[in-house]
Parts: sequence; structure tokens; C-alpha cells
Amino acid sequence: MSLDQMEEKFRTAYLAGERPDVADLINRAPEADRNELGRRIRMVLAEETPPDPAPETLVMAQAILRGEQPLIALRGSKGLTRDAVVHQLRETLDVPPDKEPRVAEYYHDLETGQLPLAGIRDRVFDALASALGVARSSLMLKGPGPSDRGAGAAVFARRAGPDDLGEQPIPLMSSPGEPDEVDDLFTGGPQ
Amino acid sequence: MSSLYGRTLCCDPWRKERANPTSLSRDESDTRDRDLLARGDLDRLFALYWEPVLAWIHATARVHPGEAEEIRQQVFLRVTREIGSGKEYRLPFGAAIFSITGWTTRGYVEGQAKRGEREAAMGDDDHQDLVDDRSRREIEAIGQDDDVAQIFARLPQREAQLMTLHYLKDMPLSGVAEVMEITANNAHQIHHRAKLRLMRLIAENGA
Repeated sequence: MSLDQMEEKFRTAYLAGERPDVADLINRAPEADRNELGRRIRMVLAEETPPDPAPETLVMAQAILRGEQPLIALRGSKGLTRDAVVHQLRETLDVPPDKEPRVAEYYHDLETGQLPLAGIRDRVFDALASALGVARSSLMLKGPGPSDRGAGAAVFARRAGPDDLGEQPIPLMSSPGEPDEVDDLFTGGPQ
Repeated sequence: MSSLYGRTLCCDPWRKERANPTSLSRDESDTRDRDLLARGDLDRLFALYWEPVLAWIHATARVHPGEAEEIRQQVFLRVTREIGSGKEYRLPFGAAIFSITGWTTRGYVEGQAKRGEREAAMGDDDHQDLVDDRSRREIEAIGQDDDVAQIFARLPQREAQLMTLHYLKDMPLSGVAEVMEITANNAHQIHHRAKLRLMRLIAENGA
């Protein structure tokens, strides 16, 4: 596919609200064309009006601006329990059932904004989007942290806790021994 | 009634053209953004730019998905803090947020490169851009008139003059037309071209 074709493919998908995966598009381009394709994609983004956001994106944005964690708000809007999301996540990631508590730990940390996003493996984002029923690029994963509360003043009124949906926080467990596959999925770094 | 550029929104020249919100032009998009900011409807504004910002990050640097999420997070928290503290961007919001995104992305990658955690952003040429202190300073200083004037100075003379009068001198386009001795229609055309060129300049450099 030529650069012109790739640019046009992106423009068409973007304007249609299809949320094209830019990282994937660029990775598929020949190495020598990647900088130019990136420039052309930025040009499209600069020239074209952003398409209307998904309703779920609005829910998460509203949560962040209230000083709450977006994943908790999204899950609440979908009527999903944390257990249901964890179970779905564990199944999609093909993790053995006996490790579901470990997945629950990490999901809790993620949902409450305590897990560094850069360490999360790529396929966890896909599994999470699937479990929550949204497009992957729409996910807002982390709200304002404690250090943002003062700076945002009127914007960040408060920070949500894990019990906003009437659920008790999951006690953080130690994970003695060698890191297992669940540790790797959530903290192993980019893949 | 407040406004992003110190002008009221009562004389919106594009109001009539907004009948079809699904096909907004760049002008209409800017007007909508300004309207959302003036109303304090930040959640909708952020939701609109949430995905384009991620696309911009991936189009600027070769980062992994989790890193892109961290960068996107930084962009929106920064913009939220700045707006919350009363900052007004002296650029159309789209231009401002993409500039901030480019700068944040480059800063993130530069930090990693300095620590030896990665070789480059998008090839060796871009790596040189990562330490472009001039562009970083410009983006950091969005909102300061001198720096915005420098950005406008990259435009052709008539466009630069119009943008300076309109955005930095808070003059309505009808007033700008009188000063420049051109018709109001011509002023709108120059304004439209200038905004497009401004966005392209930002896209060209990544920030």
C-alpha cells in the first residue's frame, strides 16, 4: 500500500468515526515511510474536525473532571460489578482460574489509578476494552492523582475511592516469589 | 458571557453555518470548541479530543500503548490544571492541545532517550527534534502573547497581521477588516486560511 493510500485509509476511517489504530497503521508501513506517514496523519488530524466522541468517552471524561476514576464510572454506567469485569478479563487473557484473585488485585489497582500504565502489556488493553464493552482507544484509564487535587482546585473536587459503587476495597496482597504470568501482564512492560 | 480569546460569543460569524453538526468545517470546529470552553463544558471538549490526541501521540513517536496512555494522561491533566487555574490559550483549542501533545510526547521520549531506555522517537531525524529547545519553549509558553506572536510570525504577512489583530488584540474580524482595508468577507477568508496553515505548521513539526 502506498503512502497516499495509507493516508487516505486513515482519513476515511477517522472521519467515519472508526477510531483507526495509528500505531498499527504506522507499524505496517515500511520503516523508511514511517516518519512521513506520521506527519501525514498529524496533518489529517490538524485539518479535519474531530468526530463526535462515543457516549462512554463522555462518561469517563465527566468522571475525571469530577475528580473521580474513569474506569469506576464507566463500569458503573454499564451496570457491571468488579467481579464480572475481573472474570471476563481473566478469561480473555487466558489466565488459569486459580489466578483470578491476582487479576482482581491488579484490576483494583488499575481502576483506582494506582497502576503505572506504561508497564501494562498491550493485550491487557484489548481485554479490558472488551470486558467493559468500549473501543480500546476510548478507554480513559486513570483520573487525577492526589498531587492533582490542589492544582485543579475547582476542577478536581475530590478523588474517588474504590468503594464508590458500594464495594469494599480489595486488600493488597503481597506476591512472594518469582513474578508470575499475571505480574508480567500488568507490570511486564511493553510488548 | 466569557470567551476564550477575550471576545464575546454574540457575534459568531459561523453561527448560520452550523446547521449540520456532523460536517463541521475547521472554522466551525474552532467556534464549537470556544463555545464549549466559554460554557465550561470541559467534559465534552475533552471527550472530543481524547482519541485524536492518542492518534497524534502515535503519529509523533514510536511509543508502546501503555506509554501512549501515560502521555495522553499527562496532556489532559495539564490542560485541565491550566484551564482550572484560569489560563486562556491564545490559539484555537485544537491547535493548543495538539501542540501540548507534541511537546509532551517529545518530552517523554527525550527523557527515556537520555536515560538510555530508547534510541529515538521516529527515526534519527526526529530524535534531533527531541532536543529542540526553541520549539519546546514555544509550546510550554502557549498563552503568552510574545510566543503566540512568534508562531503567527511564521504565517504569510497578511495572515500574520490578521491573526495578531484578531487573537492578540482581541479585535473582531469586522474591525480587523477595517484596519487592513479589506472586505469582511476577505477577512473571513484570510482567517480561514491562516488557521488551516497554523494547524499544518503544528502538524508539520509534531508540535
